[in-house]
Amino acid sequence: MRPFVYLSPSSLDECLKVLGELKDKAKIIAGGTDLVVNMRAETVNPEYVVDIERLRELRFIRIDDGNLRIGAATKIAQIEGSELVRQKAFALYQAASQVGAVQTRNLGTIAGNLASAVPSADMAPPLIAMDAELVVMSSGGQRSLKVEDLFAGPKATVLKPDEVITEVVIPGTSLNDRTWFLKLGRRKALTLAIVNVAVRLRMAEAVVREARVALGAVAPVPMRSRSAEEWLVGRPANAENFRIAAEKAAADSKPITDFRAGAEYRRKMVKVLTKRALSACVGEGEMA
Amino acid sequence: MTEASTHHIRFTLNGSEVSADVKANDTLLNVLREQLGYTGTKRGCETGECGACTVLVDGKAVNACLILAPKVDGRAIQTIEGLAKGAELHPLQKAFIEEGALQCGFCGPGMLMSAKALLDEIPNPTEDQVRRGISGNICRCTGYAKIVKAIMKASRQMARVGGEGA
Ligand SMILES: Cc1cc2nc3c(=O)[nH]c(=O)nc-3n(C[C@H](O)[C@H](O)[C@H](O)COP(=O)(O)OP(=O)(O)OC[C@H]3O[C@@H](n4cnc5c(N)ncnc54)[C@H](O)[C@@H]3O)c2cc1C
Ligand code: FES
Ligand code: FES
Repeated sequence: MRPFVYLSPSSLDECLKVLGELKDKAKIIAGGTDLVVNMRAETVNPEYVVDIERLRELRFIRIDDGNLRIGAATKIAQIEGSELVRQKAFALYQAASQVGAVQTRNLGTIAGNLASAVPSADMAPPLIAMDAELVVMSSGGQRSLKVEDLFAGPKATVLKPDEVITEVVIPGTSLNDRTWFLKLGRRKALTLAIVNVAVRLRMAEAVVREARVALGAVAPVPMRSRSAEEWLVGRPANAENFRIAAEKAAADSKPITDFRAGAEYRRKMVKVLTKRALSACVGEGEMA
Repeated sequence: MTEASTHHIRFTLNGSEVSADVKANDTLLNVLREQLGYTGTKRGCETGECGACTVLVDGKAVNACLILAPKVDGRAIQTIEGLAKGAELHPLQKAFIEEGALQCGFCGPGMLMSAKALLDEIPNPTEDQVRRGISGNICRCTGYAKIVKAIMKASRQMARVGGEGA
């Protein structure tokens, strides 16, 4: 690991000020499970590392104005253990409980997972499926950004170097919908996804009124399958429609071949996982 | 080329106050092993994958190889050296010996600290919970069956003596 200067601002205001001055010389560190690995490999070599891990302002899970708000530096383990998340955003709970191992979840944070912008990041599909937004702050002000729009490419985001994600906001409109997350890895624990899928369905009677199908690890960035979503809306939630939607999701995906899996296999698994997630979402046939 | 900042940090290590001057680009693992001479915590992959370096920070199992040293200022750290009470082994250590849960032993310190964190949180875990609890610790020798058995046994023994040894 190359040398750098470590700074640990005591408040969010101070943190924003420091980042505003240092700009691209600085990297934010939260849990460090991504950054420290990259710094050791010397693929990321900041001059300054600015620590946000212990900023109280960034660690909370609460309902506010009907929306579920999660502080950016909240640990994945806390999300996994939160009754509120389990009840209101089930797919996010499912994803949190499958990140790495106990040690990884005790260190890693929700925003660190997103900002690492790894195509397989497990927090991305459920948050995209729930139309989650980020609150992004800098010394210059504040903006909101859809999670879906955060990613610029593998390991790249649209954030400027002096911008900090401070909150993840899941809109109240998603909180009563059914959601489901599935991850396929090479083994059961401590593994990155070959494919991960999150779905959200809003139903009236047995007809789908709103649908989201979000896919990870099968394109340069986590993505939605718009054609699967469009197929589902207005149609009965049944096996045949789920099968067709899953085929559309597979067609929308743009997987590559790497050491974890081949592109063809990934595309096939998008179909399998999407269909299973949709069925599980409406309570038909649990995940295998 | 930037120079690393240095930091005077204080923390508790197995209950005792310690202080150290650390470099920004040092890890907790380095400080424990090289600076403080606590070599019980093992260095394996140094990428968070093997669990050999597992220690408890504020009671939570974490990878010491992924933690920048200045981050532990003010925290409470527990390592394998603090598990036994003097000559009296922790119930987990006893159960590991009785069950033959270790062969080469390299995974042992990390495995035991993960097991301790698990039993602190869930005193009577199911076998599934045990397997989940140690899923961040790789063992190349035992095949895990005896490790799981030992942790289950320790949890029963600790329940019998009323949470003693926690
Ligand atoms: C052994 C191992 C297993 C893993 N398994 C999984 C897995 O199964 N699934 C998975 O999805 N990930 C996995 N990961 C990746 C990683 O642990 C997670 O992505 C984690 O959530 C990252 O969070 P962090 O706080 O540790 O990030 P850090 O390393 O602190 O930061 C990651 C990046 O995000 C930036 N950043 C952090 N916080 C903010 C913020 N608030 N605003 C703006 N930028 C920010 C940093 O500058 C850095 O570029 C694994 C990692 C390891 C080491
Ligand atoms: S040495 Fe830290 S996890 Fe392997
Ligand atoms: S006993 Fe050898 S690695 Fe576990």
